[in-house]
Amino acid sequence: MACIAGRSITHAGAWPVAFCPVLLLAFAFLLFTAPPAAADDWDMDWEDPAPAPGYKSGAGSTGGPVGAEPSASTADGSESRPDAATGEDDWDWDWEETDTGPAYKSDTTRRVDPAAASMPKVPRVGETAEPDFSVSPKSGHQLFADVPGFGVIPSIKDKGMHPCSNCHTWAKSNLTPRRLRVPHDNFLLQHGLHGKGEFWCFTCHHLDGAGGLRTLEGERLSFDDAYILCAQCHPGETRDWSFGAHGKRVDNWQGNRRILNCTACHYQHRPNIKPRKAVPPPPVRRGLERNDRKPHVAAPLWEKIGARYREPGQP
Amino acid sequence: MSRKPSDSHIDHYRRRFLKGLGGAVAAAATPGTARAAWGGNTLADTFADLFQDHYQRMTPEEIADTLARIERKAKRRYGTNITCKNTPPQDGVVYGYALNISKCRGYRECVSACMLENNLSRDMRYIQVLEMDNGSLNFEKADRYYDHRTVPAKGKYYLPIQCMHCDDAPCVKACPVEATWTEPDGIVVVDYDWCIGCRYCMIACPYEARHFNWGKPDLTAGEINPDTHFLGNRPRPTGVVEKCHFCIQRTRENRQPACQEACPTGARIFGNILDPNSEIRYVLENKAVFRLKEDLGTEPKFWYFHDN
Ligand code: HEC
Ligand code: HEC
Ligand code: HEC
Ligand code: HEC
Repeated sequence: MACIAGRSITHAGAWPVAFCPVLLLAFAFLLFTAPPAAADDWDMDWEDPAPAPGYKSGAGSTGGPVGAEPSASTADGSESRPDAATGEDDWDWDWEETDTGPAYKSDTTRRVDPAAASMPKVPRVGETAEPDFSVSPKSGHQLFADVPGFGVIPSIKDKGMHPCSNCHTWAKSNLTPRRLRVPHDNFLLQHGLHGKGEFWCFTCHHLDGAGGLRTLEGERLSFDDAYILCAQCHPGETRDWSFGAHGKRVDNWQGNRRILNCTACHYQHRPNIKPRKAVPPPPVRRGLERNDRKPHVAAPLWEKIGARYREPGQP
Repeated sequence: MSRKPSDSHIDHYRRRFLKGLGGAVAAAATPGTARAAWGGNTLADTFADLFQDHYQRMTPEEIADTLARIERKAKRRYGTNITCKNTPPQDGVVYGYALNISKCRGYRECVSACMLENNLSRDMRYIQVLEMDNGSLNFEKADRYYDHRTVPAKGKYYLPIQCMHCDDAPCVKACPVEATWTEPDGIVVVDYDWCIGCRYCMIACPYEARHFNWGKPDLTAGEINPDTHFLGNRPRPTGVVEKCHFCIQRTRENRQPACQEACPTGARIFGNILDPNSEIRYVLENKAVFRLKEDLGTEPKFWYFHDN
């Protein structure tokens, strides 16, 4: 310090000037690399949220090279992660990290008992199969008779948004459909979103207590029981899902059946799955690469033959 | 259900075929060279390699020896410790696969997961994802090298193909040395050390599912998946034929095959077709399923289906 202070005026004056571009650069760098503020998560930049567990070869009971990314290495050894370009990390969701709900709920003994039907049937869009809401939603994974038992993997919750009561205790619920501002942008009142603008938040949500989901009948559901909600309007898919023909089972093909909730693949407020980048195409097998870049291969045949007859020294 | 051929049977065919190739000398030398082609070797291991028997005829002790030798050789070659297993098939299990072509969106996650899991040479793929025109099943116009900015592309659908594990597999019949056979759980496997690399099976296969190992796999130590099975993803010698084996090292331990685990859309459904409560049986019984080239009568255990 003493040294700098002791310098001549001109010298000291030159310091900030010299640093100016450097500081600017550093500042710009910070700006671009800083993690986005929480509010940014709700920006209307609707990337496909479909989270699938990142593939880890050998990960599991037997161990293996954990951390092998679902990347494709091309022949030249360049590694590229398909979704790295979009900056999405959602593909690496770790299912155990949720703070709510048991990791595995299994209730294989319950069967739907039509005699115990106490709830009225709900209106539905599809007509292929009729979900049975006669059992309470707590055992809701028995929506259809004879479904093999399964556990649903709890959803990942946005910490900033849970519980809803963080904010909705002091703000009174306003039931009129309208454009929402921060922190909920308008997921729903736009054309092309879920329900094509026909739904208002309270079609699926309630804000009593900690907040949660509600069926069209008004029954309370936890966020992890979202599939019961979806079942009301998409019974066909939900039926397939509960039998294993839609959606995804994780880890094993036999034994404890754990499956992904609908909201793991379909973002609840914009359920259609967006196109995304594919893993790069396979390289051509070794030895079969095209070598027509080399002039002696690329040249037309007549020129190649002609070259054989040409006098040495002639063009 | 076990299809263990008798000793003399295998020997008879192997000898006869190799003699046809070049006499008794070739018979002694061919397996030796094929095996020595991967991994460094000690003299003892070279001799043990040379006298290694057909997988189905080895005694448990011989198998244990062989597995240990494979692990040693992998250590010498790649510097990594691998485990080579010999997990037996499960009773009452025959594997089947069903693929929902209306869900498959051509991400190719399965392709790369398979490559990583099975220690494939980085230029080889067991799974080909064919990009097809909507409404057509014309394989001549299928594109497996599609490279769009995003998938699915407009007007296209995607049809992944891999080994269909035919119940009556033509490749098995074509093999002159019986180096490939159907396991009791329905997986068509290859004994890479018994294979002589003649590639007859590749021609017999209607699905282009078998691939020849033209060179040393270009793997580095870090890329090796150390969890291997003798009939599955263990390091393979050069000059043999290999193919999808339903991730035998995983599925025989109840885990999902790598392609299914990696698929983000849930288009792939794998399971025991003998179990009436399995997902695969639900699909086979409740969806309109079809198989490729069904008319050839090879009874593939790989079905395709479509939502509604
Ligand atoms: C960070 C605070 C905050 C959290 C957490 C929060 N909200 Fe809100 N919410 C608001 C504000 C502010 C409004 C009013 C916005 C407007 O009127 O434009 C609102 C409005 C709503 C509305 C429209 C009806 C009304 O009462 O105005 C619904 C429905 C809603 N929120 C649901 C939820 C649900 C469900 C959760 C929990 C998953 C949640 N909110 C969590 C702040 C929050
Ligand atoms: C089609 C039914 C449906 C409608 C309509 C709907 N939501 Fe949701 N919403 C859900 C479901 C299901 C979840 C739970 C997803 C989960 O946890 O997996 C959810 C979760 C949320 C969350 C928590 C997000 C998180 O990351 O956990 C907020 C906030 C929210 N909704 C706000 C709203 C607002 C505001 C509206 C109205 C503009 C609305 N929702 C309309 C179904 C709906
Ligand atoms: C109140 C009825 C209702 C509920 C509840 C509901 N949906 Fe929908 N959903 C619809 C309707 C109506 C459409 C068709 C209009 C459209 O495309 O938005 C639809 C469309 C869809 C689509 C197709 C979208 C497209 O563009 O192809 C998917 C996927 C979907 N919903 C998933 C879900 C999931 C997952 C849930 C549960 C979180 C759910 N839905 C809950 C009524 C509902
Ligand atoms: C493993 C991921 C996954 C899960 C879990 C999942 N789906 Fe889907 N779903 C898909 C895919 C992929 C499609 C095909 C979308 C496409 O290609 O446009 C689809 C299609 C749909 C469609 C039809 C869209 C259309 O355009 O016809 C509906 C409705 C739907 N799903 C509802 C649900 C419901 C309800 C659940 C939960 C019970 C659920 N899905 C669970 C991946 C999933």
